[in-house]
Amino acid sequence: MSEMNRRTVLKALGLATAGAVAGGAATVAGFKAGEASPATAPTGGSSITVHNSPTASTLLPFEGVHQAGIITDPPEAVLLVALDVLSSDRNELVNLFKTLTARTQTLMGGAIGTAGEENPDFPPHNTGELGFEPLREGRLAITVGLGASLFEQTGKDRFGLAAQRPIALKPMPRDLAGDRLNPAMTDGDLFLQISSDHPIYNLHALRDILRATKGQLSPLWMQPGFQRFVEAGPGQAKARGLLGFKDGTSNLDTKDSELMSNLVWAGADEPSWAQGGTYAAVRLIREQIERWDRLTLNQQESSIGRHKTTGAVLGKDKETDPAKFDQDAAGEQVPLDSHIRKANPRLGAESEKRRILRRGYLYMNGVDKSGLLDAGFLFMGFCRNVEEQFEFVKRNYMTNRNFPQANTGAQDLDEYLFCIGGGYFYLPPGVRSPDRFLADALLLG
Amino acid sequence: MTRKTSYTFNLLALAGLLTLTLAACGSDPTPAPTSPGPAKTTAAATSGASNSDELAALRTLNARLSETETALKKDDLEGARKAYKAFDDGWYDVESIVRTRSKEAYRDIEQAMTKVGRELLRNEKPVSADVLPLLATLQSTYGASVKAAETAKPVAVAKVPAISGAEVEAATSKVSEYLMSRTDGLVKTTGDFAAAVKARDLAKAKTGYTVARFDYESVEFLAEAFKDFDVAIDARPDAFPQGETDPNWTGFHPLEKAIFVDGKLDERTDKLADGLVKDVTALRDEIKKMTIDPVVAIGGAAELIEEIQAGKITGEEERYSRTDLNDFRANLQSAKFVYDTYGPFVQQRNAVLHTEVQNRLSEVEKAIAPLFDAQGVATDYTKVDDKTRKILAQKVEALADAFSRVSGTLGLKV
Repeated sequence: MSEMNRRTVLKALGLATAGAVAGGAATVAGFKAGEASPATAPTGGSSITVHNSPTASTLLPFEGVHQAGIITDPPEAVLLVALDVLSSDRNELVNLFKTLTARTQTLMGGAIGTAGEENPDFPPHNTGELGFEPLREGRLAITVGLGASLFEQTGKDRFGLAAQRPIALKPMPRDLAGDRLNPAMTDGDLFLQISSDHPIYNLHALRDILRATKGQLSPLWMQPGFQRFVEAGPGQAKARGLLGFKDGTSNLDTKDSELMSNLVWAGADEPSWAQGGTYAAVRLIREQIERWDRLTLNQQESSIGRHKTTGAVLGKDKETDPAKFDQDAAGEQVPLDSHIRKANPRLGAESEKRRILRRGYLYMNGVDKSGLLDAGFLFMGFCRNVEEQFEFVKRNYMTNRNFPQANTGAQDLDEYLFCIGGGYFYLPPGVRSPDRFLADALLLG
Repeated sequence: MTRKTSYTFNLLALAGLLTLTLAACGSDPTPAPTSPGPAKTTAAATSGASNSDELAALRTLNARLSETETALKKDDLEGARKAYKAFDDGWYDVESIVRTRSKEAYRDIEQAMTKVGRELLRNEKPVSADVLPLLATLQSTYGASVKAAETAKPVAVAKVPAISGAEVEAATSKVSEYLMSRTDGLVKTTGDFAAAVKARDLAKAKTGYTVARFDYESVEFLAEAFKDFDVAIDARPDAFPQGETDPNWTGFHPLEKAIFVDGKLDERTDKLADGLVKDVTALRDEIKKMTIDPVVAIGGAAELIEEIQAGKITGEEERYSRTDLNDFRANLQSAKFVYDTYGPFVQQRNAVLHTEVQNRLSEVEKAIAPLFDAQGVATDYTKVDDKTRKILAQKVEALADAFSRVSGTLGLKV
C-alpha cells in the first residue's frame, strides 16, 4: 500500500481526528497519529477530541478502499433512507450514480456552496441551513447501499445487472420469527446511511441529494436516529440502548483489519465489482419501552444476560471479563435464552465466523395510536455474507426454540421488541480515485 | 459536458486559475447536476470564491514550509522536522480547500509531501541537502496554490439578459391570446353551469361544474393575482370561521357541495350561482386589463405546476366532486401551452434543460392519461390509490424542479 493510501486508510479509521489535534499542538508534541508508533503515542490517546480546536478539520475522506460510514467511528446522528430508482434505463442509472458520487464527495468535503456562487435569478443551490462558509467539521458520511430490487424485481432484470447480483443479496426475508414488517418501511432499490455529528448536517445532505436526483429517485422510507457515545476502552461499549443496557461491548474491533477482512469485507466469492464491499442488514426495531420499564432489574438482566450498570456478563465483575458459557451449560448464571447467549453463543470457530459488525442508533417517533412511545433501535449489521452471518444467527440461534438446548425458546428479549422494517443492502466498495464513481465496476462492467 | 456558454468557466480560465469542473450542464450556472448527460464524476465545483479565512490558513501553512527550508539550510534537522510536521499536520485542515479548487494541485502537493516526508521524517538519518530539492518542489506546488487562491476573483454568476425581440413578442402575444380566450371561455362555461344550477338540473350541473372548473384552473394563476376574486370564487370552507355553514363562503365550492354531496338545489344555490357569474365576469374584465409578459407567463406556468402539487395530488381541491384530476389536467395543459410557446428560447440557451422540461411534461401527461375515460371524464380521485398518487407526485416534482430553472435561463426576474 502506498503511503498516501495508508494515510487515507488511517483517516478512515478515525485516527485523523487524533492527528488533527496533534496538529494543533504539533510544535509541542510533534506527534501525529498516522506516524505514531505505540511507543510514542501519548497514553490515553483515545480521549483526545477535536471539538475545541478551531482549525481542526473533522471531515471524513470520501475516497478510499471502503465507503465511509462502515468502520469509521459512528457520529451521533444518523438518517436512514431508502429510495426507489424511477428510471429503467442503464445509462440513466449510470448518470444517477455519477450524480450521487459527485454530491457525496462535495458534501463530505464540506463544500456547501458560497453565497457568491448563487445567481439571484435561479433557485439557490445551497439551501442555506448550514450557512455559506465551507465546512470543516461534522464528520458527514454518506454511505450508499444497493437493494436486491435493483438487480431483479418480480423476476425482471431491470438494468441488465441480474448476473452481477451479490451472492447473498435478496429482499429482507418475510418469515423471520417475530418480525412485524411494514411493507412501506421495508427494502428499496437504494439505501443511504447519512451520518454526522448533528441531524442538521444529515438533513442538508439529504435535501441536496434529493434535489440533485429529482425525477430519478423517489423516497420510499426514512428514519432518523441518534446516539450518545462516550469514551471507552477496548472491549467496552461506547453507548447504551433505550433498554438501558450497554450496547457494543463485544462488537468487532474495527481497527483489526484481519478481522474486518474475515467478517466484514466481501471477498473472492463475490462478483469482482463487489469485493471490498459489505452487506448491511438494516433492521428498524420497535421496542416496547413501557412494558420493559415495568420489569424488575433481575428480569431485565436475565433477558439481556448482562449486569445493567457495569455491562459485565452475569456473574462477572467487569465488562471486559469474558463470557464462559461452556462452564455454564445449564444456564444457571447466564440464562440460555438471554440475548448474549443467543446472539453470540461463543461456540468457537462455528459461531466466531458468523459475527457481524454492528452499528446501532436509537429512534423516537412520538407516540403510537395507543399513546405508547414509538421508540426503539436502528440496527445495522455489516457482514461479509448476510445469509451466513446475520440471518444464520437470527434463524438458528436467536429465534431457534431448540438452541442451545431443546425447549430453550426464542431469545427472551423478543418479548419486548420486534422488527418493523429495514432491508438487506449491499454497500459497494469505496471510490478510490477521482476518475471513478460509486459502483462503476458494476454499472460499466 | 457543454461549457461553451459558461461564463464562470471562462473567467476562471482567463485568470489562469485552477480548473473547475462544473457538474451543471449548458449555460445553467447552478451546480446542481440534475441533468442527465455525460456528467463528470468529479465533485461539482462549489467552492472557488476566496474567503479570508481560507487564505489565511493557506498562508499560515506556507510559512511552515519556509521555516523548514530555513532550518534545513542551517542543517538544523530537529527544527526542520518540527516545522515540517507542523505543515504536515496543518495540511489535513486545508487540503479540502485546495482539493475543491483543483484535483491536480491536490495530487501534486500530496506527491511532493510523500517524498519530503520520507526523506525528512521517516529517514532515520536525514540529509539536509537531499531534502532541500524535494522541499523546493513542494514549496513551488504549494505556493502556486496559495497564489491561485489569492488572485482568484469570486466566481461570477452567469447573468443572462432577458429574452427579447420580435420573436419573443410574438410568443407573448400567442400566450396572451390563449389566456384571454380561456378567460372568455370561463365566463361562457360558468354561465352554462349557473343556468343548469338554476334550472335545478343536477345531472347537467355536475357536467357543467366540471367544464367550468377546467377553464378556471386553466387561468388559475391569473385569478390568484386578484386575491378578492380568488376568495369569492375558489375558496375552500376551511378559510372561513364557520366552515361549510359560513354565509361568506361563496363561489364554486359551496355549489360543488350542494350538487355532489347534498344533491339539493334551491334558492340559496340560485343566489350562489348568480354571484359566481357576476364575480367571474368581473374577474374577466380585470384580467383583460392585464399585460401579459414573459415574466407573468413563465411565472404563471410555474405556479400552475406548483398548484398541482399543492392541492390536486392530495385531493384537497375538489373534495366533494372528487374531480381533482380534471383540475390537474387543466393546470398542466396551460403550463404546457406556455412552455411550448417559449420553449425555443430555452432551447437556444440550454438545450439540455429544454429537453428535460419537455420530457418531464410528457411524463406527467402520460401518467395521468390512463386516469381519464374516452370522453375525457376524470376518474374519481378517491379511487386513485396511494401508490399511483405518489408516482404522480414524484413526476410533478421532477417537472417542477426542471421548471424552476426556466425563468433564470430566460433571464427573467420572477
